[in-house]
Amino acid sequence: MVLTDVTGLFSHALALAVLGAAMLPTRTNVKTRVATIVVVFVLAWLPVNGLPLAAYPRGIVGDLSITACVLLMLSILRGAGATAPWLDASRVFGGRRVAWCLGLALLALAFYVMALGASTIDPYRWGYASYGLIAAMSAIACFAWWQRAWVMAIAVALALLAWVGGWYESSNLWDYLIDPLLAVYALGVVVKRAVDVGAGRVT
Amino acid sequence: MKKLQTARRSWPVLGLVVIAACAGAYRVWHQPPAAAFVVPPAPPVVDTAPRFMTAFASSSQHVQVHAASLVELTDGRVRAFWFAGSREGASDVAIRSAVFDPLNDQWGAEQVVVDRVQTQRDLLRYVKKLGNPVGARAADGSLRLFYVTVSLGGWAGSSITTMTSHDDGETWEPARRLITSPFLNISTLVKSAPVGYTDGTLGLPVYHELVGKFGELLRLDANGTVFDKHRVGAASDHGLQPVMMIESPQRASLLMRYAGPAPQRVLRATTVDAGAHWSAPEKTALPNPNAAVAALRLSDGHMLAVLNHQEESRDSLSLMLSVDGGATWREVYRLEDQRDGGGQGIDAAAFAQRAAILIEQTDVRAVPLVDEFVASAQGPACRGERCGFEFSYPYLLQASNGDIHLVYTWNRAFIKHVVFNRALLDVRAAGAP
Repeated sequence: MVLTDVTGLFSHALALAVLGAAMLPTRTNVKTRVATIVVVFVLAWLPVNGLPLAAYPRGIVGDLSITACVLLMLSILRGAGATAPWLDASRVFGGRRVAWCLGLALLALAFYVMALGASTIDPYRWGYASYGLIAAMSAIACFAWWQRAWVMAIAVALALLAWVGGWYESSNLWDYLIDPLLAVYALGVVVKRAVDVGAGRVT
Repeated sequence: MKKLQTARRSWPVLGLVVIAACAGAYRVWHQPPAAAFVVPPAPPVVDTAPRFMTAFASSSQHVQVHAASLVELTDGRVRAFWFAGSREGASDVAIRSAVFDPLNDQWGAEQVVVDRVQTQRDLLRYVKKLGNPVGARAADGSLRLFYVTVSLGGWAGSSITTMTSHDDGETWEPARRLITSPFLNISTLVKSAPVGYTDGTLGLPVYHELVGKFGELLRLDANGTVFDKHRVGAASDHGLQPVMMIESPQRASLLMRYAGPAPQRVLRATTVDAGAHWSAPEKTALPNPNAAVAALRLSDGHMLAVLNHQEESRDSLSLMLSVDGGATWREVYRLEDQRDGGGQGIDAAAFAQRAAILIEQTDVRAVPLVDEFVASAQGPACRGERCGFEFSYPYLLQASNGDIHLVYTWNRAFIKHVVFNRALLDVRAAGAP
């Protein structure tokens, strides 16, 4: 097992732990929630038919982006009972969680469609070595910092650093910034807000 | 929406962003500069008699085989790779290999190189099936094997996996995954050999077939990591399985299988900047029944291609020659011809009879029992009482002694091998209309 396998499996172990905690009833106390997170995280490394459990979703989805890992870590911290105000779900996005998720979902949609061949332009290629992409992502991170959406600023910064450091097997910056599960999460946030607005639960 | 005007902006977070931006720019600055193609050296000119020999490279009976490729070893022998199992895409499919010795014209015993279980253990990822092995020589002298693995769905869900050998294929290091696509890293497949660049990097022709079908040239560094890619055409061109021919340090052309609407023709594209940009793929005059093609450029600029020279079915196989850099082609050898004329197939008895003749006419085969060979062929070739011949997935290699080797799938039952030389080609070309 090389380091990039450990990091890849780690991302899926995080996701499985969050999934395990999310399946608990809402009123579950913090101790049970923390225990569930720890147990599922450990189980993810145990072999099933010769492979760690986390290797199965990893085979299908690939390594999760750093952005996804940052959001998963936040979810784990909140689930573990951390109540610092700066961890509040609305504050981490500067009060604009739905807007950031909408931007992420639209970016992912355009990106995947173009990268899979729908156009002659291949934006995935920029992820190997493009000053333009570095500049654009840095600008987005600065904008996020300015807007007090600190989780997005940190996610992009850590994605850049992880890419430079070769954290994952991928040598493409896009694989550190976004992944399909993150896009599904962002889309889910937007759709839920739209449904709530439509049902009159939110003005 | 809440506006958190009272929350402070965190200067450490901004500092982290600035450091990350600088680190990113530094990494881009260190990207390898553009390099030129390595033009394959011309083999020695030797006056020999025309040579044409046929053999079966694979020897296992009652399995389905497909997707053979060739690579020359350092001692002049030629190693073939292919996949074999109960059927294409089955979980028992493994990559197999055998070695041809030109000194005695014999194929050695088959060996299993890697299977699905070993692959998923090396990759620490679930793997459902594998296929399409391509062997190649890296600049550092090691042997690289690229093959396709699928974790979910069909071949459109493929990823490329690679292994390295430092002893010409006797033993292999653990498999590693190539990350080539952002959407689940799927839908990149390999069919033909990589080309070398002067800086020691490789260009691996690959193709996508999920949303759109198009070719690509992946750039791999000395460690085998992808550091760039160049698309060949767009999804609207419906190109698959590119095979490259290097013409000069900056120029190359490639042929592609065509999977789009009629007329069914092989596609061709060219580059004048060592693969960084490609012309829009154009249809050639070569018919193509949505099947793989093989191509090879000889040192005098003539080009060879092996393909099913027809718009439907794969029951014939032809060797084509171009003397004008790929602009026009003519058939110089009908390698296989079992066309049934109507696409209805032939009855099992007729198939067995014809197959027996083809097997008996093969110069070299590991197992002498013709009946057993025929029975192996009937498995994949027949549906009930109707059978159809298939000759597909050709792969060409020119060895350093000048011999030209061709392998192809023979009725999904065996890997057929043909070796010929330039003298034979000259005779055929002189005689062809």
